Amino acid sequence: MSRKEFLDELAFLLQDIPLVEQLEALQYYNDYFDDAGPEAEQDIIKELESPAKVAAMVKGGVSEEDGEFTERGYSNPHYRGPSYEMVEKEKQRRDKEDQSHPYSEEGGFDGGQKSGSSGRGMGGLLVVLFIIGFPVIIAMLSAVFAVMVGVASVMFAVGVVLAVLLIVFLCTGFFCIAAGLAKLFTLPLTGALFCGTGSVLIGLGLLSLVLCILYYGKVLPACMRGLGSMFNWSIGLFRRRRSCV
Amino acid sequence: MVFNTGAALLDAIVLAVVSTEPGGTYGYKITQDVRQAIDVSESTLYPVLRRLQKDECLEAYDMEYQGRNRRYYKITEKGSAQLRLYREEWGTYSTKISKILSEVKYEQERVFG
Repeated sequence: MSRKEFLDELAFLLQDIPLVEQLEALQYYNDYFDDAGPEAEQDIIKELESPAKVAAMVKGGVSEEDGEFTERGYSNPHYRGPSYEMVEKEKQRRDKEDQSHPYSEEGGFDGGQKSGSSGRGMGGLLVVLFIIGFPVIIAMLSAVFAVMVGVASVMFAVGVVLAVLLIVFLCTGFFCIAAGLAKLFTLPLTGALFCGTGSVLIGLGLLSLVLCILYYGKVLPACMRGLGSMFNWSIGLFRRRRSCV
Repeated sequence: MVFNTGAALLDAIVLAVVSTEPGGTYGYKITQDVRQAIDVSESTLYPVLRRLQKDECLEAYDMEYQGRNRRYYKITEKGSAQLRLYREEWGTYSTKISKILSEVKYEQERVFG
Protein backbone atom coordinates (compact mmCIF):
# COMPACT_ATOMS: atom_id res chain seq x y z
CA MET A 1 0.00 0.00 0.00
CA SER A 2 1.36 3.39 -0.93
CA ARG A 3 1.00 6.62 0.96
CA LYS A 4 -1.50 7.91 -1.56
CA GLU A 5 -3.62 4.80 -1.30
CA PHE A 6 -3.49 4.99 2.45
CA LEU A 7 -4.60 8.62 2.58
CA ASP A 8 -7.28 8.10 -0.07
CA GLU A 9 -8.76 5.23 1.86
CA LEU A 10 -8.57 7.26 5.08
CA ALA A 11 -10.41 10.14 3.37
CA PHE A 12 -13.05 7.70 2.19
CA LEU A 13 -13.51 6.28 5.68
CA LEU A 14 -13.76 9.72 7.28
CA GLN A 15 -16.63 10.88 5.08
CA ASP A 16 -19.23 10.61 7.84
CA ILE A 17 -17.61 13.09 10.20
CA PRO A 18 -17.75 16.92 9.90
CA LEU A 19 -15.71 18.30 7.00
CA VAL A 20 -13.50 20.34 9.34
CA GLU A 21 -12.54 17.19 11.19
CA GLN A 22 -11.89 15.31 7.95
CA LEU A 23 -9.58 18.02 6.65
CA GLU A 24 -7.79 18.38 9.99
CA ALA A 25 -7.07 14.68 10.20
CA LEU A 26 -6.02 14.37 6.57
CA GLN A 27 -3.72 17.36 6.84
CA TYR A 28 -2.18 15.90 9.97
CA TYR A 29 -1.37 12.56 8.36
CA ASN A 30 -0.30 14.19 5.12
CA ASP A 31 2.10 16.40 7.09
CA TYR A 32 3.21 13.37 9.00
CA PHE A 33 4.24 11.52 5.84
CA ASP A 34 5.92 14.67 4.49
CA ASP A 35 7.92 15.25 7.65
CA ALA A 36 8.91 11.64 8.08
CA GLY A 37 10.31 11.59 4.54
CA PRO A 38 9.74 9.17 1.66
CA GLU A 39 12.15 6.57 3.06
CA ALA A 40 10.09 6.16 6.23
CA GLU A 41 6.82 5.87 4.30
CA GLN A 42 6.44 2.11 4.49
CA ASP A 43 7.46 2.03 8.18
CA ILE A 44 4.76 4.52 9.00
CA ILE A 45 2.12 2.70 7.01
CA LYS A 46 3.11 -0.49 8.77
CA GLU A 47 2.92 1.12 12.15
CA LEU A 48 -0.37 2.87 11.51
CA GLU A 49 -1.61 -0.65 10.67
CA SER A 50 -4.53 0.32 8.47
CA PRO A 51 -6.58 3.34 7.37
CA ALA A 52 -9.51 1.74 9.20
CA LYS A 53 -7.65 1.83 12.51
CA VAL A 54 -6.55 5.44 12.01
CA ALA A 55 -10.10 6.41 11.02
CA ALA A 56 -11.44 4.73 14.14
CA MET A 57 -8.96 6.67 16.28
CA VAL A 58 -9.91 9.96 14.63
CA LYS A 59 -13.61 9.25 15.06
CA GLY A 60 -13.04 8.17 18.65
CA GLY A 61 -11.59 11.60 19.30
CA VAL A 62 -14.38 13.36 17.45
CA SER A 63 -17.33 11.53 18.90
CA GLU A 64 -18.56 12.59 22.29
CA GLU A 65 -19.71 9.11 23.20
CA ASP A 66 -16.56 7.91 24.82
CA GLY A 67 -15.52 11.04 26.60
CA GLU A 68 -16.55 14.61 26.39
CA PHE A 69 -15.07 18.04 26.45
CA THR A 70 -16.51 20.01 29.27
CA GLU A 71 -15.54 23.32 30.77
CA ARG A 72 -13.82 21.34 33.47
CA GLY A 73 -11.58 19.58 31.03
CA TYR A 74 -11.71 16.27 29.30
CA SER A 75 -13.95 13.83 31.06
CA ASN A 76 -13.91 10.22 30.14
CA PRO A 77 -15.54 7.42 32.10
CA HIS A 78 -12.51 5.24 31.34
CA TYR A 79 -10.18 7.70 33.00
CA ARG A 80 -11.89 8.55 36.24
CA GLY A 81 -9.49 9.23 39.02
CA PRO A 82 -6.64 11.59 39.79
CA SER A 83 -6.70 13.01 36.27
CA TYR A 84 -10.18 14.29 36.83
CA GLU A 85 -9.34 15.93 40.14
CA MET A 86 -6.46 17.77 38.59
CA VAL A 87 -8.70 19.81 36.41
CA GLU A 88 -10.87 20.57 39.41
CA LYS A 89 -7.86 21.80 41.37
CA GLU A 90 -6.76 23.93 38.48
CA LYS A 91 -10.18 25.50 38.48
CA GLN A 92 -9.89 26.32 42.16
CA ARG A 93 -6.48 27.87 41.62
CA ARG A 94 -7.86 29.96 38.79
CA ASP A 95 -10.77 31.08 40.91
CA LYS A 96 -8.36 32.25 43.57
CA GLU A 97 -6.35 34.13 40.97
CA ASP A 98 -9.48 35.77 39.66
CA GLN A 99 -10.33 37.00 43.11
CA SER A 100 -6.90 38.45 43.80
CA HIS A 101 -6.82 40.50 40.62
CA PRO A 102 -9.85 41.17 38.53
CA TYR A 103 -8.67 39.66 35.29
CA SER A 104 -11.23 37.18 34.24
CA GLU A 105 -11.68 34.78 31.43
CA GLU A 106 -15.43 34.54 31.29
CA GLY A 107 -16.72 31.31 29.86
CA GLY A 108 -13.32 29.73 30.26
CA PHE A 109 -13.23 27.70 33.38
CA ASP A 110 -16.32 28.74 35.19
CA GLY A 111 -19.23 26.67 34.05
CA GLY A 112 -21.72 28.50 36.25
CA GLN A 113 -21.97 25.49 38.49
CA LYS A 114 -21.59 27.47 41.70
CA SER A 115 -24.53 27.22 44.03
CA GLY A 116 -24.94 30.99 44.13
CA SER A 117 -25.81 31.32 40.50
CA SER A 118 -28.97 29.26 40.78
CA GLY A 119 -30.11 31.49 43.62
CA ARG A 120 -29.41 34.49 41.45
CA GLY A 121 -31.60 33.01 38.72
CA MET A 122 -34.39 32.46 41.25
CA GLY A 123 -34.09 36.06 42.41
CA GLY A 124 -34.28 37.28 38.84
CA LEU A 125 -37.45 35.28 38.31
CA LEU A 126 -39.00 36.81 41.40
CA VAL A 127 -38.01 40.30 40.29
CA VAL A 128 -39.80 39.67 37.00
CA LEU A 129 -42.81 38.35 38.93
CA PHE A 130 -42.73 41.42 41.13
CA ILE A 131 -42.60 43.75 38.12
CA ILE A 132 -45.49 41.93 36.48
CA GLY A 133 -47.44 41.84 39.74
CA PHE A 134 -46.62 45.45 40.61
CA PRO A 135 -49.76 47.03 39.00
CA VAL A 136 -51.95 44.47 40.74
CA ILE A 137 -50.35 45.17 44.11
CA ILE A 138 -50.67 48.92 43.59
CA ALA A 139 -54.34 48.57 42.60
CA MET A 140 -55.06 46.44 45.66
CA LEU A 141 -53.32 48.86 47.97
CA SER A 142 -55.18 51.80 46.41
CA ALA A 143 -58.51 50.06 46.95
CA VAL A 144 -57.68 49.33 50.58
CA PHE A 145 -56.61 52.91 51.17
CA ALA A 146 -59.75 54.28 49.46
CA VAL A 147 -61.98 52.14 51.68
CA MET A 148 -60.06 53.26 54.75
CA VAL A 149 -60.27 56.94 53.78
CA GLY A 150 -64.03 56.54 53.16
CA VAL A 151 -64.62 54.86 56.52
CA ALA A 152 -62.53 57.50 58.30
CA SER A 153 -64.50 60.29 56.60
CA VAL A 154 -67.83 58.79 57.67
CA MET A 155 -66.54 58.40 61.22
CA PHE A 156 -65.38 61.98 61.25
CA ALA A 157 -68.73 63.22 59.85
CA VAL A 158 -70.76 61.25 62.43
CA GLY A 159 -68.56 62.65 65.18
CA VAL A 160 -69.00 66.22 63.95
CA VAL A 161 -72.79 65.78 63.56
CA LEU A 162 -73.09 64.36 67.09
CA ALA A 163 -71.04 67.22 68.54
CA VAL A 164 -73.09 69.83 66.64
CA LEU A 165 -76.36 68.21 67.75
CA LEU A 166 -75.10 68.19 71.35
CA ILE A 167 -74.23 71.90 71.21
CA VAL A 168 -77.42 72.87 69.35
CA PHE A 169 -79.74 70.85 71.64
CA LEU A 170 -78.13 72.09 74.82
CA CYS A 171 -77.91 75.73 73.66
CA THR A 172 -81.49 75.88 72.34
CA GLY A 173 -82.70 73.93 75.38
CA PHE A 174 -81.12 76.37 77.84
CA PHE A 175 -82.29 79.29 75.69
CA CYS A 176 -85.86 77.92 75.66
CA ILE A 177 -85.88 77.39 79.42
CA ALA A 178 -84.47 80.90 79.98
CA ALA A 179 -87.07 82.38 77.62
CA GLY A 180 -89.87 80.26 79.20
CA LEU A 181 -88.90 81.35 82.71
CA ALA A 182 -88.95 85.00 81.51
CA LYS A 183 -92.40 84.57 79.92
CA LEU A 184 -93.74 82.43 82.78
CA PHE A 185 -94.86 85.48 84.69
CA THR A 186 -96.34 87.46 81.76
CA LEU A 187 -97.65 84.63 79.58
CA PRO A 188 -97.72 81.56 81.83
CA LEU A 189 -98.86 79.11 79.16
CA THR A 190 -96.30 80.20 76.59
CA GLY A 191 -93.68 80.23 79.30
CA ALA A 192 -94.60 76.70 80.29
CA LEU A 193 -94.43 75.59 76.64
CA PHE A 194 -90.98 77.12 76.27
CA CYS A 195 -89.84 75.56 79.53
CA GLY A 196 -91.17 72.17 78.43
CA THR A 197 -89.60 72.44 74.99
CA GLY A 198 -86.37 73.56 76.60
CA SER A 199 -86.41 70.57 78.92
CA VAL A 200 -87.01 68.21 76.01
CA LEU A 201 -84.17 69.87 74.09
CA ILE A 202 -81.87 69.65 77.09
CA GLY A 203 -82.89 66.02 77.41
CA LEU A 204 -82.03 65.47 73.76
CA GLY A 205 -78.79 67.37 74.35
CA LEU A 206 -77.93 65.12 77.29
CA LEU A 207 -78.75 62.12 75.12
CA SER A 208 -76.40 63.52 72.49
CA LEU A 209 -73.77 64.01 75.20
CA VAL A 210 -74.10 60.39 76.21
CA LEU A 211 -73.91 59.36 72.55
CA CYS A 212 -70.90 61.61 72.07
CA ILE A 213 -69.12 60.14 75.08
CA LEU A 214 -69.98 56.67 73.86
CA TYR A 215 -68.92 57.53 70.32
CA TYR A 216 -65.67 59.31 71.11
CA GLY A 217 -64.86 57.03 74.00
CA LYS A 218 -65.65 53.61 72.57
CA VAL A 219 -66.80 53.49 68.96
CA LEU A 220 -64.20 55.79 67.44
CA PRO A 221 -61.15 54.16 69.09
CA ALA A 222 -62.47 50.75 68.11
CA CYS A 223 -62.89 51.89 64.52
CA MET A 224 -59.44 53.45 64.53
CA ARG A 225 -57.97 50.22 65.78
CA GLY A 226 -59.87 48.42 63.04
CA LEU A 227 -58.53 50.78 60.42
CA GLY A 228 -55.06 50.54 61.90
CA SER A 229 -55.04 46.77 61.76
CA MET A 230 -56.39 46.92 58.22
CA PHE A 231 -53.56 49.29 57.31
CA ASN A 232 -51.01 47.04 58.97
CA TRP A 233 -52.44 44.05 57.20
CA SER A 234 -52.17 45.65 53.79
CA ILE A 235 -48.66 46.90 54.53
CA GLY A 236 -47.79 43.45 55.79
CA LEU A 237 -49.13 41.96 52.58
CA PHE A 238 -46.93 44.32 50.61
CA ARG A 239 -43.91 43.52 52.79
CA ARG A 240 -44.46 39.79 52.44
CA ARG A 241 -44.52 40.13 48.71
CA ARG A 242 -41.36 42.13 48.77
CA SER A 243 -39.56 39.89 51.21
CA CYS A 244 -40.16 37.01 48.80
CA VAL A 245 -38.17 38.97 46.26
CA MET B 1 5.82 -0.69 29.08
CA VAL B 2 4.23 -2.39 32.05
CA PHE B 3 2.52 0.75 33.28
CA ASN B 4 -0.36 2.30 31.44
CA THR B 5 -0.29 5.91 30.45
CA GLY B 6 -3.63 7.49 31.27
CA ALA B 7 -5.26 10.28 29.33
CA ALA B 8 -4.13 12.92 31.80
CA LEU B 9 -0.51 11.78 31.74
CA LEU B 10 -0.55 11.65 27.97
CA ASP B 11 -1.95 15.18 27.90
CA ALA B 12 0.75 16.29 30.32
CA ILE B 13 3.52 14.76 28.21
CA VAL B 14 2.21 16.29 25.00
CA LEU B 15 1.78 19.70 26.61
CA ALA B 16 5.28 19.50 28.04
CA VAL B 17 6.73 18.54 24.64
CA VAL B 18 4.90 21.34 22.83
CA SER B 19 5.83 23.89 25.52
CA THR B 20 9.54 23.28 24.89
CA GLU B 21 9.12 24.89 21.47
CA PRO B 22 7.96 28.47 22.02
CA GLY B 23 7.70 29.01 18.27
CA GLY B 24 5.47 25.98 17.85
CA THR B 25 6.10 22.45 16.70
CA TYR B 26 4.50 19.96 14.32
CA GLY B 27 2.88 16.56 14.53
CA TYR B 28 5.78 14.39 13.41
CA LYS B 29 8.23 16.06 15.77
CA ILE B 30 5.78 15.88 18.68
CA THR B 31 5.38 12.16 18.06
CA GLN B 32 9.14 11.61 17.98
CA ASP B 33 9.62 13.63 21.18
CA VAL B 34 6.82 11.89 23.05
CA ARG B 35 8.24 8.56 21.98
CA GLN B 36 11.46 9.33 23.79
CA ALA B 37 9.49 8.98 27.01
CA ILE B 38 6.70 6.54 26.31
CA ASP B 39 5.92 3.97 23.71
CA VAL B 40 2.95 5.37 21.91
CA SER B 41 1.59 4.34 18.56
CA GLU B 42 1.64 6.89 15.76
CA SER B 43 -2.11 6.99 15.48
CA THR B 44 -2.63 7.75 19.18
CA LEU B 45 -1.31 11.27 19.15
CA TYR B 46 -3.60 12.86 16.61
CA PRO B 47 -6.74 12.51 18.79
CA VAL B 48 -4.80 13.84 21.77
CA LEU B 49 -3.60 16.89 19.85
CA ARG B 50 -7.06 17.53 18.47
CA ARG B 51 -8.55 17.20 21.92
CA LEU B 52 -6.07 19.62 23.49
CA GLN B 53 -6.70 21.98 20.61
CA LYS B 54 -10.45 21.88 21.16
CA ASP B 55 -9.84 22.32 24.86
CA GLU B 56 -7.91 25.51 24.04
CA CYS B 57 -4.76 24.14 25.60
CA LEU B 58 -3.08 24.10 22.21
CA GLU B 59 -3.31 26.48 19.32
CA ALA B 60 -2.94 25.22 15.74
CA TYR B 61 -1.79 27.28 12.81
CA ASP B 62 -0.39 26.70 9.34
CA MET B 63 3.02 27.89 8.28
CA GLU B 64 4.84 27.41 5.02
CA TYR B 65 7.69 24.97 5.12
CA GLN B 66 9.63 23.96 1.99
CA GLY B 67 6.87 25.04 -0.33
CA ARG B 68 4.04 23.37 1.53
CA ASN B 69 1.76 24.16 4.40
CA ARG B 70 2.68 22.55 7.65
CA ARG B 71 0.41 22.45 10.66
CA TYR B 72 2.05 23.78 13.80
CA TYR B 73 0.96 23.52 17.38
CA LYS B 74 1.68 26.05 20.09
CA ILE B 75 0.81 25.99 23.78
CA THR B 76 -1.76 28.54 24.96
CA GLU B 77 -1.96 30.34 28.27
CA LYS B 78 -4.60 27.90 29.41
CA GLY B 79 -2.42 25.03 28.27
CA SER B 80 0.49 26.43 30.27
CA ALA B 81 -1.67 26.67 33.36
CA GLN B 82 -2.80 23.09 32.86
CA LEU B 83 0.76 21.93 32.36
CA ARG B 84 1.86 23.73 35.55
CA LEU B 85 -0.84 21.87 37.41
CA TYR B 86 0.11 18.54 35.85
CA ARG B 87 3.73 19.15 36.88
CA GLU B 88 2.77 19.79 40.49
CA GLU B 89 0.49 16.77 40.62
CA TRP B 90 3.03 14.55 38.95
CA GLY B 91 5.68 15.72 41.40
CA THR B 92 3.70 14.63 44.44
CA TYR B 93 2.39 11.49 42.75
CA SER B 94 5.75 10.25 41.49
CA THR B 95 7.48 11.07 44.78
CA LYS B 96 4.96 9.07 46.73
CA ILE B 97 5.09 6.12 44.36
CA SER B 98 8.89 6.16 44.31
CA LYS B 99 8.98 6.32 48.08
CA ILE B 100 6.67 3.36 48.49
CA LEU B 101 8.46 1.32 45.85
CA SER B 102 11.91 2.04 47.29
CA GLU B 103 10.70 1.24 50.81
CA VAL B 104 9.50 -2.12 49.64
CA LYS B 105 12.86 -2.72 48.04
CA TYR B 106 14.65 -1.74 51.25
CA GLU B 107 12.55 -4.17 53.31
CA GLN B 108 13.28 -6.98 50.91
CA GLU B 109 16.99 -6.24 51.03
CA ARG B 110 16.89 -6.47 54.79
CA VAL B 111 15.02 -9.73 54.74
CA PHE B 112 17.11 -11.39 52.10
CA GLY B 113 20.37 -9.61 52.66
